[in-house]
Amino acid sequence: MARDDISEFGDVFEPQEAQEPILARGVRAALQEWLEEIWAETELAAVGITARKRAIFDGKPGVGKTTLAHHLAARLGLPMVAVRPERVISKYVGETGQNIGRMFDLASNEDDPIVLFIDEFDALSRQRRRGEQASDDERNEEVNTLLQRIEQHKGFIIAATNYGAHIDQAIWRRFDIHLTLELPGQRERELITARYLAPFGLPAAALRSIAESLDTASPALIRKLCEGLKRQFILGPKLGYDMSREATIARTLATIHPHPDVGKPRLWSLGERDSAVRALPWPIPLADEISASAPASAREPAANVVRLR
Amino acid sequence: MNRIRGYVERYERLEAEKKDITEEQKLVMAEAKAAGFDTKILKHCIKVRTKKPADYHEAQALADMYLSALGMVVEPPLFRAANRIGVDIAARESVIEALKNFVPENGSIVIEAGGAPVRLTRDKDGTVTAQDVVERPAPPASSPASAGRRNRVPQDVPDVSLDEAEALGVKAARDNVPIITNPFPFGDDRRPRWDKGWRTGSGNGGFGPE
Repeated sequence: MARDDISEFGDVFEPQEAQEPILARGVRAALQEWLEEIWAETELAAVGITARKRAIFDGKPGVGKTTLAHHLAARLGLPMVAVRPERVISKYVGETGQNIGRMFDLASNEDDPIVLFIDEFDALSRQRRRGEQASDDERNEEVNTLLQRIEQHKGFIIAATNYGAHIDQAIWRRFDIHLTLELPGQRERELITARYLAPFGLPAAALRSIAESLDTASPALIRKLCEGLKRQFILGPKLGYDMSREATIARTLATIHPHPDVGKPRLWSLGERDSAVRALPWPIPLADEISASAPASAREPAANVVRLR
Repeated sequence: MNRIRGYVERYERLEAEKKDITEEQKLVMAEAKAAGFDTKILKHCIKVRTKKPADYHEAQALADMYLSALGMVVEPPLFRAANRIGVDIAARESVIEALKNFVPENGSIVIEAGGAPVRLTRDKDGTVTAQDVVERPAPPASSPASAGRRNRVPQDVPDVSLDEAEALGVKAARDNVPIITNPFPFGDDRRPRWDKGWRTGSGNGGFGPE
């Protein structure tokens, strides 16, 4: 019953729809530890402690906070409800607080557990301020409500924010696990590129160089780039475009850009003149063809082609 | 000097005329009173005539509403309006006929009169038809969308021991099945064991390729 109603405040993501995240080593270990902790709840209870149930993910836009939260929920076997702040925040005084209360009431139905995922958490939990205007008082009320409800909530909460600094300190403290997600490193970028380029694939050297040229790009941007390329492969010939390597890359880059504030990866600075572009086999082969045609010495799959399950 | 005098005298003359006019107005009112009219109401009518009709009607409607909310109007405004158009509100047919005027374009209103609900519908051509409303059985408690979610097909939970669950996990990893397809539900002790088996089988932590 609860989930029918809670969908009023957010979108429900079922476990089957989750994707595997691609993470750096440190974060990976912390998450595995958390999962084990949740599963060891009875043993922990025997020594008088409870499993941590509230986590906050901090990181730049597009680093995969939602993907990760969804994956964690799926690992636990629970649906995730991604709260939409615009459905909670109301223009009427007092109603936002009421909505927050109702949302937590609905989320804490023990017969139908869920993982509550609050994206753009800073929208709900701005720093409290000395009341100089009536709107400040109202905001403080909301933050207080949120504070109490988070503290009392028995289920799982994962909050995500791009601006950790904007979150009220008292609320920040209520979260047991603070995890900062960084932009992907070289190895992660290779994996992400390979995942989103599938069913196409790149030989290891080309993959390495293109991942280097994507330094400082977020997973979301890499995904957009790969999808843009695939789109060009399909639509370009239909539109009668020049399908040469440089022209295709230039067209793809023309419509996909990193946010001006986050810094430009080299691929965008140099464009189609980047050496990584010259290293690309053209047309980009299918992943299956690469492993078959690779030289015998390099046929060790892990060294040559990144395969994803 | 003369100019100033001119202004002052002109102003004084107008002032005198104003006085005369006010006197004449008073005379008109006295005449009306002598003829038996209520001068207060006459003055009210004069005031109303200076307003724009739309403004006046709006104010009147609001005043009606406020007064009925305060319990000072015995008869709600709609009934009074119905009375004005000569409807006998005790007769079902005449109420239905009168309300046909209020049916919105391409819409319908349902009224309960004489114990049975009637739906008045205005079609595209503007003709209004009255139809008895047949009580339909209540719709099922949940909407189809949410029903789909709640009644999703439960996964087949294998009937196995803890160790067997772990072995199933290892096998799943070798068969290239994603880790999130764990068949055991939340709260089942076999779920972590399957997960552990999968991690052993695949050689990674399940958080994507290492």
